[in-house]
Amino acid sequence: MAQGTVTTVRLPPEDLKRLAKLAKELEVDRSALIRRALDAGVREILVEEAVRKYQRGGASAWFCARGAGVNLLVFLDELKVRGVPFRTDEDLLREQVEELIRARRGR
Amino acid sequence: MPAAVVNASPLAFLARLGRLDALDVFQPLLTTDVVIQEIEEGLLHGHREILAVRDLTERGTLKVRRVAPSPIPGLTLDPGELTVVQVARGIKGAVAVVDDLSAIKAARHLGISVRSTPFVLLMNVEGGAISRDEFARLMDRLMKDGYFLAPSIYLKLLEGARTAGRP
Repeated sequence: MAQGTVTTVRLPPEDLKRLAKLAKELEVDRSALIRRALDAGVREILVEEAVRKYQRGGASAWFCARGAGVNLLVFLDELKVRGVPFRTDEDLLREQVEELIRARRGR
Repeated sequence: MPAAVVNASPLAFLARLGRLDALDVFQPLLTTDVVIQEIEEGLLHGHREILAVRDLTERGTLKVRRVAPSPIPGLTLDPGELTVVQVARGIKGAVAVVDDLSAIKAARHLGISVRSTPFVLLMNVEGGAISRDEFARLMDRLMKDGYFLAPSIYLKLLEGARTAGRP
């Protein structure tokens, strides 16, 4: 691994115990485990925030996905897993279908 | 047949449904390199259905335009979506095949005609390439995939298929 920057984080003793136990189980050193947990945690936070942003509206799914640093297809999967619907323009769709029905009946 | 420029989400949804051929109602069928790059990246995350999109580009059915995205003030879109809007804007009579609510609003704001995945599938019912029973199944699968259609829209789509297609 490339040389990283040393930083100090204050952790409760029970968290340190959990980390030590898990590091032993996975046979990795504690620093590697903390980096892995941090990676996964930050990704989760970014995706969660991007999903919220998407739900609030005004930004596209792709825009939100990129903001979280994830691929659009992955983001669509995340929406599905979290039960957040992918939204299209239903008003337009309704207009278009009604127009098609009218045209069909007029024939 | 009108020309169409396809965005990433319709390609993803249609590929999942195994009905990329529904885009045959457009000629020529175009997309952009930014869209294809995003779609191809899906493969790295296990989306094997994307191989069907690759097949379309390799066969030349889906033509890929290289476009540098330029921001359009006031639009909160991804650069990829901007490229779709840019290409559609440059071709007279072209429609943008776009699903995302924000992207649709942006495209329409710029005077571009838009078709979404459910409507493209309905066009195929009208054209006889998809039966109305299959259309109903495809709508169900699309919704299972996370694509939201309010019950009233869903019923309207089925009504559209009933009046347009074969059983």
